[in-house]
Amino acid sequence: MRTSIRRSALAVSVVAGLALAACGDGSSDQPAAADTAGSAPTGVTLTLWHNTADPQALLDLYKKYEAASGNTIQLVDVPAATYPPAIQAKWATGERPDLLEWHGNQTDLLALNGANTMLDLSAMPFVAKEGDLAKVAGAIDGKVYAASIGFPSVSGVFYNKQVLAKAGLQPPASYADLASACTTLKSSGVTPIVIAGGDGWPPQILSGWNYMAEYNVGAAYDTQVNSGQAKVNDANGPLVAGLKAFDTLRTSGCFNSDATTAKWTTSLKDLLDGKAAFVPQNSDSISQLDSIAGGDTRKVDDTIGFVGVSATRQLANYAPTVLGTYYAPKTGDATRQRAAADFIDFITGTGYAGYVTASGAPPTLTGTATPQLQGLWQEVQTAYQAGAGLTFISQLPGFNNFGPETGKLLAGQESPQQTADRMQTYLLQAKAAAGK
Amino acid sequence: MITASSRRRGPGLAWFAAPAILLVSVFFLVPFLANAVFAFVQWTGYSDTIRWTGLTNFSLLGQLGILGHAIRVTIVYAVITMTVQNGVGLALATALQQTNRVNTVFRSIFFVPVLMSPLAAGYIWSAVLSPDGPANDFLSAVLPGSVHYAYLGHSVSALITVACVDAWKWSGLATLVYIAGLNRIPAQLVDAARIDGAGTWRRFWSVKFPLLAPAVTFNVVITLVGAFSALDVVFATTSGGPGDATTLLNVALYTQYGQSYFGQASALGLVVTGLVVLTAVPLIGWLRRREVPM
Amino acid sequence: MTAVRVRYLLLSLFAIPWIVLPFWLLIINSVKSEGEAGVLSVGLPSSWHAATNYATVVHQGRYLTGLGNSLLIAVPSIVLVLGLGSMAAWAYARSPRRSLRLTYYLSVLSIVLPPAIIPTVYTLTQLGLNGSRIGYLLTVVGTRLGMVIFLCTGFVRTLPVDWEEAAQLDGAGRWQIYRRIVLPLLAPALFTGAILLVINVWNDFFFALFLLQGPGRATLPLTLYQFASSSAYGLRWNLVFAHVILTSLPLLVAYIIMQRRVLSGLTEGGTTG
Repeated sequence: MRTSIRRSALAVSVVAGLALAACGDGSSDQPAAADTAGSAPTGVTLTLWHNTADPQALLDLYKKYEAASGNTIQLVDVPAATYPPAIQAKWATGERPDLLEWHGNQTDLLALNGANTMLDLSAMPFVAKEGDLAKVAGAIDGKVYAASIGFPSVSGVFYNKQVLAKAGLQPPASYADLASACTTLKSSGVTPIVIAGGDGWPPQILSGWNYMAEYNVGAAYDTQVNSGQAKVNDANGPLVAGLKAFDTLRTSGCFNSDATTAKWTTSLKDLLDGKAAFVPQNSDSISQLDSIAGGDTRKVDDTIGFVGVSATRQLANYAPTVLGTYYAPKTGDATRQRAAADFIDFITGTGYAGYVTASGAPPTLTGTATPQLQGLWQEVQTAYQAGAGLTFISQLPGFNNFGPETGKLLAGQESPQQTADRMQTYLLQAKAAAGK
Repeated sequence: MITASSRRRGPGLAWFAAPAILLVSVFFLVPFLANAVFAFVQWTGYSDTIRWTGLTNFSLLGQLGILGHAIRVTIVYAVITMTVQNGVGLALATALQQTNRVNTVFRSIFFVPVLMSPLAAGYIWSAVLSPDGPANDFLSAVLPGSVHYAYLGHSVSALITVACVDAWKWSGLATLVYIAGLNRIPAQLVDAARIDGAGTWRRFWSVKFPLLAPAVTFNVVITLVGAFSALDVVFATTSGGPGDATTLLNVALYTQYGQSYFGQASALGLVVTGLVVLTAVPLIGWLRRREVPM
Repeated sequence: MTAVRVRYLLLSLFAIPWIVLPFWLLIINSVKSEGEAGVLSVGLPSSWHAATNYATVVHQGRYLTGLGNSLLIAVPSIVLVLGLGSMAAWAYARSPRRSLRLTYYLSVLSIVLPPAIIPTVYTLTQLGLNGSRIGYLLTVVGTRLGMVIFLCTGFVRTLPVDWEEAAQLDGAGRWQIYRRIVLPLLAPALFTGAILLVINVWNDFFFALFLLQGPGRATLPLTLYQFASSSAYGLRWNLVFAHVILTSLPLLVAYIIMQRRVLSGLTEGGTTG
């Protein structure tokens, strides 16, 4: 393998006149654990690659850290629209920030070669307070590389209370419930389920995330797949069954007629306006609903409900979010790495309570009181605490392609089995790339 | 062309080309040649090492249904764009060939889309063609029943629509190139044909069109090449959807790049280059042969 | 005469769906309220929201950042391409060297061959220029020089060498000959080249998407894309349209001022070689 590296290196330097160095910076030789000894340095400038969708509560938290520590946080704005590609491209070319806001999913962490490029934060005090979330948010092989202070994104189904009441329906608990509610609603002229295929990612919530929730409690399904005990494209496996259930809803006309082009925001607007009964979505939609309602949270709470819907029973699923999940990449600079650990300490310690109050979302770390939540958030929190399963794509390498692949199913371009087969190939591709 | 005196001052003249040679080499030629290597290596964000993998990138893209599909979609897209753009361009050029006041006004109006960014074109037309947009409103007014067709929501119509938007954006330029070509045709030839009794249609196809060959060569090659590496209009309208119906090679390339599969992205880039070479070279040759020497 | 009338009638009929309708829809909806623009009608607004819409685009849409970056990149890169391209073209047209002929053909290849984007990212990283404006600018220059070299070399070849020789006999140096004689004579070809460059460079999205990182460095097409794909503004047609108009405005204004020269530059300039 070494020689083949050399050979390709030679080929490029001959052809391109450039040396083809491995794109990493050889950082794997440095000690892997974050240094928290002694007092933290001050007067250090830390670069933070962050998502421009960061809520004000997080932006304020960065400012508070600057005031408390005497260090400077230099924000590198990465637009939300192109966040994953932009970060992964910078990453692969060897650039490293001192702090990185990035998905907590193992899938996405593997894509950054996390085990070799991030500082191990396992020994830091926040890990115990983060509890079970720390085992799935930014963790590989039992080591924790991220602090997740943003509340996980909880997926299920948002429903319009008035529409259901008028049709004499209860909130659904299973895919069978969705199918029967669909039959009832279709006759009443309401769109039963709105799918926002125009935005790429929303369809996968109904095509897989929700269905798989009960199979992936404690990451059970992901563990089976990753250990080779199960294949995602097993004809009798749960994923193929879920995709089929989704496809049946599609072919029975339960979706909006513009399912392939509708946008996330319009789907929520239709729900709020009572034009639709259900929108399979995650908790990031709450702030969007609030803003569509012009900030009238009472109206949102009165109109919209949330429920976890899994294959056969009422169960939500959750995944660590990108907003509010922080990593400390290895930069090779001991002082800055020490300061980065100090930042993590601050946002999960001294600065944490203030952030939670400002965020209006439930806390992820124990020992902090939940702020006054709007009604819809309370429903989400209840669903999360009722033993929600881990969103199944979280720990499957290559499953960041599940959204686009579902898009093809939604457009009727492939069958459920074909979608699952493609996903199996994506899984193998990513595993091969990660050397697993 | 080479005179004795130009030979004398030849050598030092090369320095005038040096800065251009340097910039073209570093920022065009080197990456262009390096692509032929990158397409065959495993280079991802998942790992620190870059290694030779042979044809693996291509075979994986094939298994994932990306490669063959993107090639097909790209070719269809390019052919539609080329046909529409040149059809409209040639028709407008024939109508506006004479330079007079009214024609100048029309020419300048039809040229406006050329100045817009392809993204802007995409946003404008996705509004015009949205299910509740003015295009469907018009159809609802003329046809029985109400029309709410989602032009961008169905596989076939989305590809055709996006290709037409691309053609819309550039046909003003094709028009000008054809006008230039028409104006280069000696008037005596057309007059002679008229005296021989050739009608308008016949004069166009038998006299003007063959003499227009240089302009046709230029326009056909440039539109095809441009359409093979298109991305902008798709980003502003469908993002490659519905499903993968409008996932052109460069759109697929961006997706692979975005997931840090740089080797596979390079492989798709090489396919774009291959398409261009395979199409442009024979096409230039073929169209050149049809050119009538003047 | 009636044939001419019919032709103008047909042209006008064609212009309605082709030009008038899309631009009217664009302009009129950019001054409507969000709700009214949402139905995408061609009617007049019931209340005017031009000021708020455009102000939102300028502030939230980072319009001024985009405009500044676009100017910062387009102006120097076009000047460089025209300057270096015409210099090289003169050398290519007048020098008998074989090696130069080869580099001429290699440069001209870039007109037809699509640039390889992934290795460009890699090359820029090696040069420490990845994501920066200067790296993007140099890439624009390197990939567009071919077009100007092609246009100008053909043009210089048609010029008689007498003036250059006369100037040389008068003791003028090469630089002076280029500057005083060749460059002014090249003006028509350079003007045609400039128009094509402005259209291509100003509207470039593909390279900018890959090569410019961070909103602070975004050019106008990038700011437009980021604005239109954000969940907060993306579905507000009034704002997207206002951004489209502001983004297109610089070129449209330049075009309105110089349209006659632009059109004649493209019809009479050597676009067909």
